[in-house]
Amino acid sequence: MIALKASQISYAFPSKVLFEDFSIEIKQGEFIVLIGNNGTGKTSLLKLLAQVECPQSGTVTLYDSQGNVLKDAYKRVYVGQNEFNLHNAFCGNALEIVLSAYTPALGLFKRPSEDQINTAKEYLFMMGLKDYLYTPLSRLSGGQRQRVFIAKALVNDPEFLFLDEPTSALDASFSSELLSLLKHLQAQHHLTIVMVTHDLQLAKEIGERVYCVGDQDVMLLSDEDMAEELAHAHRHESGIELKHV
Amino acid sequence: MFNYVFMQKALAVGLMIALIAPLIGQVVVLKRMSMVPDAIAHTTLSGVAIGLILNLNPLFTAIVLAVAGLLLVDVLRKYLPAYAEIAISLLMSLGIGVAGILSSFIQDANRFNAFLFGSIVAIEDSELYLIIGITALVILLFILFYKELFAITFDEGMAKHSGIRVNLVNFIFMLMMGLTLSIASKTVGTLIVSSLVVLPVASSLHFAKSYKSTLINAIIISVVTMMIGLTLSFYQGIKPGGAVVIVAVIFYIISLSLNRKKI
Repeated sequence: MIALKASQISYAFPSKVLFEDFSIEIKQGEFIVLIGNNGTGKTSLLKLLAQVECPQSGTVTLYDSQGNVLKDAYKRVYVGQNEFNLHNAFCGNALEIVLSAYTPALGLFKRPSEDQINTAKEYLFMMGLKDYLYTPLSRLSGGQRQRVFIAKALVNDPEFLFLDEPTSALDASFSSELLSLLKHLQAQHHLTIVMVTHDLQLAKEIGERVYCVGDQDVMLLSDEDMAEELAHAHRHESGIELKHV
Repeated sequence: MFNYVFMQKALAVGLMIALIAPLIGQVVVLKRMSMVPDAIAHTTLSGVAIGLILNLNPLFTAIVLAVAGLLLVDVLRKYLPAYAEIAISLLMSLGIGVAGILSSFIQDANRFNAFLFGSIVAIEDSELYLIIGITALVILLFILFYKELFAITFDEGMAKHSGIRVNLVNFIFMLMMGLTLSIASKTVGTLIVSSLVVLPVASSLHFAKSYKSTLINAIIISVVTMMIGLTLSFYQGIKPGGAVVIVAVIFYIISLSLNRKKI
């Protein structure tokens, strides 16, 4: 079943066209990865697909599990890049922040239930933050904050996850744990995931389809392309320059 | 001090203002818009001047101008998104400018001056009831919209994306702020009210364990500050606004020296 349909979307900065007339259909429970060099518009594309921003032309439509246009905005969750660098002065603690994910679903005047509080705690435990439930965000490290945001993203049973470099502040072991968790959620809950990453190896392992966001176009990479990209990246140790761009 | 009716009223009004000022302050400080209350307070001053000239209750006209000023800030911020602080600066200039000109036409300058640095005398019964009503309304709105205000304070863009009615909640918050600032101008004065909104929260942030505990500590600091300030004002015959704000600054310095963690 189609979960996301983007038709002929275009987006340009005043000085640069990022992409034109790009269309994509994403099935429910699919895991899509976006890669690309810096400044090519990966984050912009992710924001358009997540409906954080509107395309300058074209449309993006999300569908719920019944195939109707998605009504509940909180079912599509976007976790931005480097968000862990913000909020240096925010006094809310990890649990309060995760609980705030329930706000739109609860509607005005209601408070989270005991069950919801327990679920929030479970997600924080899962993210390895057992000892930090009551620590204000301002006193958590970048990696810990990123894990709080991921717990917040997952806690309210989303149908879509849009993640912009979710592992950028995490150490290797935690990155792999997070990715297994995402895989699990994708399989068990038919979660549709679109993720931006710089990590080609990761993109190959986890992405069911990998798109390379290049200058003025977005192209689907085949397995051969990916193998070639990886070999190319190994030759150029930085691993940043992509051949298909 | 408690034997005097005027002082009982002043303490009651002071207590109410001290209770609600941090509710506004927490959001304002965390959203980094600490200058907004100052601009609004200056606007309330022109409301006071209009009230005194037209022989209306200055508290009523102050409320009207405060709310109008906040709506203006909101509109200006939409037209000047990259220079939001200019909107605030503009409003502050407009408020103080209009108040300055109008003050030349006020017969009884003392009544006007009382709104600059506050006054513990001359709180009429009708004003007291109005202040009780506004305090109750602000507290009620804060409780009803607690979690929405939290979400917007934390990340307004993401709150909007998740389907929270950000514009509605912001409007209600602006209304709460306008009401709080205009009644606070009566006791602590328009020039000082923003300190009372900001400083207790800033002091409390040094000991933050959570959003909720920061708020509760800020309310305690605010109430203690107000009571000490008004007591000093009574016994030393000094202007209450000055006394309150200096006590607030002293509390801030103490909290800073007790806990030097960055906020």
